[in-house]
This record gives sequence, structure tokens and C-alpha cells, in this order.
Amino acid sequence: MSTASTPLVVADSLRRTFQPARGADPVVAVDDVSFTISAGESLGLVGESGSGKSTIARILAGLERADAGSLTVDGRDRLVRGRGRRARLHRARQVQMVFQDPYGSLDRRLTVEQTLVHAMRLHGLAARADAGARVAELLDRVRLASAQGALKPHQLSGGQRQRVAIARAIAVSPSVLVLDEAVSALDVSVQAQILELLGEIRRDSGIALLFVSHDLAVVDEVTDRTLVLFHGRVVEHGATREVLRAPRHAYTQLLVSSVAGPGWDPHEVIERRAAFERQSDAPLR
Amino acid sequence: MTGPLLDIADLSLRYGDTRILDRVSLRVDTGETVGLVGESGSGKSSTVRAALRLLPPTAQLDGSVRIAGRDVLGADARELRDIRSSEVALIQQDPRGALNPVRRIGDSLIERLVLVHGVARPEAKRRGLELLEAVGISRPELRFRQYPHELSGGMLQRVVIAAALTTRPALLLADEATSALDVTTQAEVLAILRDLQRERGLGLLFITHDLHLAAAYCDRVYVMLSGEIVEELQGADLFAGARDTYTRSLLDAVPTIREHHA
Repeated sequence: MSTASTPLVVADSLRRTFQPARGADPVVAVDDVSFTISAGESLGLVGESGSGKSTIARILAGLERADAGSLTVDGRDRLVRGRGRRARLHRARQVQMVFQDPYGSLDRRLTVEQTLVHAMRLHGLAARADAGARVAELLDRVRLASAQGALKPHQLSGGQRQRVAIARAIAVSPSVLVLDEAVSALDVSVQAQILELLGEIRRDSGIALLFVSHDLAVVDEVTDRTLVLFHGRVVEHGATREVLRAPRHAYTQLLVSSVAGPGWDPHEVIERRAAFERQSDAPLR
Repeated sequence: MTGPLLDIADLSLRYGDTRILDRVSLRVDTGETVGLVGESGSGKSSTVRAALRLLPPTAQLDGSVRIAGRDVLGADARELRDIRSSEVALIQQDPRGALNPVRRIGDSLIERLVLVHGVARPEAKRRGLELLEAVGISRPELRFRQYPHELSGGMLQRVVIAAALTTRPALLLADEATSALDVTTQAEVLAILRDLQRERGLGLLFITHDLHLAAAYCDRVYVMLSGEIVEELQGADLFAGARDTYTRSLLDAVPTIREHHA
């Protein structure tokens, strides 16, 4: 268990480089990124395409390795990989991930109930006797009707499918939930319901959230602190409210002013962007 | 030409007993930017596809659609091809889906000019390069020779816009055309579209799920729900002036980092 002095997630100087093609210059996707997340806390990662936000999410989820740096969750090293099945399963169980497209991440042959039971069995969590009760509890938790447990992904709406993906993730009682653009494809009314659900899960279970999104307004709703990434580097880090309402770094200012709202003028955004590129000597990708 | 560039009147669309659109009426005038907003399944894309008759043969259409004064629903195949290739252009969300991955950018760009309008290749290329420059693409000669995978999504969407403009249409239909782009790139593409609109008097029907963007970018906005238009508002009035219950609930659900309607 993490104590008050040690946060649940501690990432220190993470670095990841990709080689796009043989002979091409390597791309530094994640460059010296450090952060912490406490139990029950929600950290936002924002930035544009190529900022490294998804790579960081995938490193935390164990889907991508880091070339340098350290990463612990609940005191356990996640970068040095135990080879045994138990170690792999523990790593997977500790950090669960929810993707943008639930249709792609759910097995279309399985019903909702089978999906949840499958996830729990994999981690030895559901004895046959109480699996049914646990499934009912999970469905209730993500506000799906018990009858929907018998449906397959194609019989559900996008919002319902994303609820199933969330139910599957929390079915194994993870310490951390990583959400990569998890509400980006949903209609606003559905998005609002899913965001509310995530808030409840966080309050009730103390799960820590890493919330990756290009949508600043959504990040504002669900996160306590935010990291702003640019070309793989953290350019600003602070309480979400302050980062988004009183951004200090020129790149954050550019991002915030790019969001359409009253008085928004695309030509002004372009001027800001050009000014930023001149000043930082780094073209946006 | 007199009258609106796009004039859709009482347009209904059914597949058998399933009603997709119910007496949709909307218009876009010269130089005007008109938003069409609503949630998934509300009929935004169906309206655009119906207006171009890009629907399966089982679709049953009623009502009327006029583009630059020309009747679309009554047009024969030849007339329809002519309307589609010279009066109007459709820009969709995914530029990678719109461009052939194994053809050079330049070939996709000038295809309509050469094949449909019979413009000689050197002249078509000259116009194509001009347009690439107009949509803010650096080193147009190089891009002309490159393949889609060598360009970023933002650049590709600008190529698609340039391709849409090669035949000098009067009307652009943009279906979530900037939704997949980064915010700064989106602003850049929208600024380019606005400039081109002003220079050429283009009418733009702008379909988006982003209500803040619709409010900030469009002169007028139509709100759709279950295949019907439930409200029409001035863009600047969208957040303050909406009276329809559905429009209000939609607006209330939108998160914002600005405090104007909190």
C-alpha cells in the first residue's frame, strides 16, 4: 500500500525514442518526463499529436517500454519485467486501460457478461459461484441494465460499449486506470454521463486516473492536476484549474486560445502559433 | 444566378418504414457559413449525402434540393455528374480515406480537372500548385510528387480542400472536416477556408458536433434531432439565444474551460 508520503504512481525521467525508418533520425517521443499520481487522484495529459501523451499512457499501462527512467506503482517497479505469468498478470491487473474505441477493444464474440467474467477469471478473481453476483454489481456500477449483460458489442451504443470497457477495467480492482481519449468519440450528452461515472469510480474506489485527452474542457472536468506536453517534454505542470485558466507557458497559452469560444478568431490562433514557433524555434508537427 | 446556393426544402429520407430525415429545410447563401449541429444519428451526414444523392438505391427521397439553382433530385445521370463535379465539393473527416494511398498527391489533386473538365495536364498542374499554395502548403512542388503517407493529417486535409477547389465550386459541404485535427491545425484550416470563402464568395455548409466551434465560426446554425431541424439560430446567439429544449440540453452538456455559460 502506498503511504501518505509516497504517491501511488511515481514516474521519474521517462524517456522513449522511436526509429521511424532505417537510417532516419530517431524521434524522441518522451523526453525526461516525471510525474506522480496519488491514490484517488486524477492526472491529465494534454498536448497535440506527437506530443508523447499516448506513449506515456502506454508505458504506464505496460504496453510500451521506456528506454530510460524509472516507474513504480505502489512501490513495484514496472519497467523491470518479471518473466513469469504471475508477474505479467500482476502488472496487467495493477494498471488497466480504456481506449478511445470500445468497439475495437472489446471481443465482438463475447456478451457483456462473458467479457467481464473472462477478465476476472484471468486474474483468478471470480469463483464460479459468485461470478454472477459480481457481474450484476459491475453492471450496476456502470449503470447498465442487468438484461444488457446478455448483449454483444454490436447490440450496444457507443456510450454503452464504453461503459462495458470501463466495467471490464474495474472488474479486476486495478490501482490505476489509464484512459486514452476514452470519451473523445462520444456525443456530448453521453460524454457527460461517462465523465460523471469516472468521477464516482474515483471517489468510491480510490483508483488513480491518468486521463489523456486533446480536449481541454474535458480534462478540466475530470482531473486535479495537468501536464502539458510538447514534443515529448513537459512544458507546464500544475493544478488543472490554473494551468487552463492562467497558463504560463507560451505553448499552453496557444493551446488554450485555440479552443473555440466567444470572440475566437482562427487568424489570431495562426498568428499566435507563428509567434510561438519563432520563439521556441520548434515547428509544430 | 439568383437565390441560395444550396436550397433544401422539405427533404425527407426513408428506407422502407424507417424514417431518417423528416421535412428538412435549410439554405446556404453566397459567401455564407452555415452550421449543421446535432448528435450522432441526428441526420447531419444523411442530409448532406441526400443533397448530393450519394445514397444507396433503396433510399426513398421526397422534397427538393437545389444547388446553384439546379434541381438535384430530378436530375438525370449526366446532369447529376455535372452538378457534382462543377457546382459543389464535399470534404469529409478523414483525408486519408479521401486520397488514394498509392497515388501521388498531385495526381489526386488534379484528377477532376483532367478527367472531368478536360484541362491539359501542364495547365492543371499549374492550377494545382497555385491551390496548394493558397491552402498554405509549403514547398508545393515537393508535395505534388509525394504520397499521402509522407504528409501529416493537417497537410492532407489542406490537400483535400485544394482538390475540392480545383473545379471552382460555388458550394462546399464540410462534414466534420476539421474534427480530427489538432486545435491549432484546425484553426489554420478554418482560417484558410474563411479566406477562400471571402475571395471566391463560396457558400459553406459546416457540419460539426462541436457547438463552441459552430457558435464561433458560423453565421447561422441549424440544430438537428432525430432527422428534423429543431431550431435555427444566428451563430453568435447559439449559446445565449437557444429556446428549444433539446438545443438547451445539448448546450448544457458541453464542457467548457470558459465561464460564459456556466
